[in-house]
Amino acid sequence: MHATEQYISSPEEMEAFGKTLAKTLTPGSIAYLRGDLGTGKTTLARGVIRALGYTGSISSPTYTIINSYDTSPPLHHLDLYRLHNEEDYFQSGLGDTNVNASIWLIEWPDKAIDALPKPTINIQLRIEKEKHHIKVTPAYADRY
Amino acid sequence: MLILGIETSCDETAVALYDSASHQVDQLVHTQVDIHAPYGGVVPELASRDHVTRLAPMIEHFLSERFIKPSELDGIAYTRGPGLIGALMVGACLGKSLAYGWGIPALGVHHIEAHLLAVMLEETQPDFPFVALIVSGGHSLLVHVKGVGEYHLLGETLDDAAGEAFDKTAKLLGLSYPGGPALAALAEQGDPKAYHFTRPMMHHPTCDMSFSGLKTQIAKTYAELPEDSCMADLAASFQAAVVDVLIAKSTRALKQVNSKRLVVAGGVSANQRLRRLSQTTFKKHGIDVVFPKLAYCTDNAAMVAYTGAVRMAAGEFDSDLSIQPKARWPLVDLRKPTS
Repeated sequence: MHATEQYISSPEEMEAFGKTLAKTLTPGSIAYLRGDLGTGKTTLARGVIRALGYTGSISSPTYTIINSYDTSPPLHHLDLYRLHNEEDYFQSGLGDTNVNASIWLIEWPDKAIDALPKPTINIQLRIEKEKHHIKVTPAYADRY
Repeated sequence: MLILGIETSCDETAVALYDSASHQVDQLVHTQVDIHAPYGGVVPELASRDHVTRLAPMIEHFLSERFIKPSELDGIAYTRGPGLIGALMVGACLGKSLAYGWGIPALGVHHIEAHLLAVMLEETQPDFPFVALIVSGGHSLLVHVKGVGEYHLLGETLDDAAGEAFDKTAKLLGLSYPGGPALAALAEQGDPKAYHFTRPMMHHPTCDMSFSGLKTQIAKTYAELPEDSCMADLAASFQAAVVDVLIAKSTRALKQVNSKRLVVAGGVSANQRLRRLSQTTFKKHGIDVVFPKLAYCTDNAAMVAYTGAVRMAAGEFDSDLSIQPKARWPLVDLRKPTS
């Protein structure tokens, strides 16, 4: 699998993109979501969570840091925005979260990158001329 | 009934005492604590497990300073959820352990219910039923409150909380995070009509809200702005959009349940524009608007102590010694107090 790139022009399209992305995620998948404020990370995450069949409300984990969904497989939606470093990650108790058999979506991974499990997929979002540009890179592709 | 309240659901470590006989409340929040105090040290911006080192000495200091002996307490109320699980665990463990050691009952309280009932700490309390708008960094919801434990969710944010939108927009405009209050202050000096931002979901026939798209609009506008533009205008226009949505959705909620009483709580209720416009808009329609004191709007233990006191007075207590905090806990799962 190679890196793919795409342009998105509405929140609906972003959510739909998340739903498509969900098909490539399996238990143990760890997705890092990078991009500035307002580029659509949480909207993309919502698409993934909806695709797993969750019908309840899905809100931003910025304040809560982690929102866990009892889907099949279980999904953890993390946002490290409010963290400063790896110490904060462990202080928050996030180090106790079970990685196995679940899907992780992690926004702002660079805030505590050394504390995190390694990604299986990297997603980069940015706004470019009114549109949202998404680049999806399987993690192993970074190394080869 | 003298109840000790403990709040550790997220960043704040707070303890309080509520006396139901005199309706008096007294509280201590860690951010007010002098860092040279015996239990002090540097307060990190993200508390979480740091509650561990702070909470027990805080309770000891708080009680001894007021000459309150544990034997005078009738119960301990702690925040059981929703919140950050590691943070909740600290308050739940210590609260229940102290109660066991002191031979008094403990009760786990719902954080949002406590916010809803914070207004009851005021001297004059609104009568039930009322509609509550709770707007903070972590929550944005509209609830029909018929009585204690009788809650009907009318609407909530589908993405970012209103306070979160303020904090993130502040960051986009170059203010440090969390810059919500600084952004609001800047907005007071700007022209709210300088830029037009769409009011997300304002005309949807529901009470649900959405603030995430507004952030994207700001990011795009800011990126194309000439360098000498007035940031205050941008801030004011953003604030106007958020406040318009909050007022429109509150109005819809009040109509939906045919209520004439609105309670606004949460950190965003400190917003001056929201306060001003609420008073003028709702007064016109004969609606009473109540804002609790700011100290009871942001996360605090006074509201936890009060909520615990109300439920314990009805005979509700934790039935065993198990520690069961809940990271997710829908408000509508609550019931009227039962013994």
